[in-house]
Amino acid sequence: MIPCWMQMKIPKKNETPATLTIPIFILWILLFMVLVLILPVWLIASFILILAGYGWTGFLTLGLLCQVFWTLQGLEVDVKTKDITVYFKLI
Amino acid sequence: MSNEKKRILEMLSQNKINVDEAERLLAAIEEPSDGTNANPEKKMLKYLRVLVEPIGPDSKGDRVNVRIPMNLIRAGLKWISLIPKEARGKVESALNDKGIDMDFKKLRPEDFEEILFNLNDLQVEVDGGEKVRVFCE
Repeated sequence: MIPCWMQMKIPKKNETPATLTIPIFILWILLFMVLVLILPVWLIASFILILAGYGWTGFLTLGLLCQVFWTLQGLEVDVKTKDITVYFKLI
Repeated sequence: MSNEKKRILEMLSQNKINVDEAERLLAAIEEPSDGTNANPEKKMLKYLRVLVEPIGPDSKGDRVNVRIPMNLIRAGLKWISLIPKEARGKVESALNDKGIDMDFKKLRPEDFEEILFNLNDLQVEVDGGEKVRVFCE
């Protein structure tokens, strides 16, 4: 499933970190709109790539890009070092 | 031990077959009868985990906890097929110069998954006092 929410932790000095839940499904809606807008250009570029001998690269890229977004759910990164603290989780 | 295994070992002891042949025969009878050699445990693997923890309860070293969905890795590996032939050749020759013999055509997502599965629970202790664990769950 495509992730809909992103959980982030913002570190605070001498306090427990604040947890922020960001609705990233809004981002997907925006991306979808951008994709619809650029789709004609993408299709033309893909046909040019086929004619130039690069095969189905253009079409495959679009498919694989969607697959990567689709499989992002469950990704969790939690890094705590002296210099940086990063926490995010895609739900 | 099954009859087939006993028979293979008997043939080996009687020098009717050599060690390589015995190994191949044993591997053949261990494969599932439906032709698929997929381990059921492998299908259940959902995440690749990388954990870095300081050794000792009160040490203040770096901590890393990364969980990557296996499907994301599989999807990422498919991007290899999109590398143009010319670029692939250049990368392979550059790796060859460094002494790494790599053929992208032969690299399959299943092989990578096999490596990850066989890692089981790789544990490395780093000089700085950290314990690195790589495993699938």
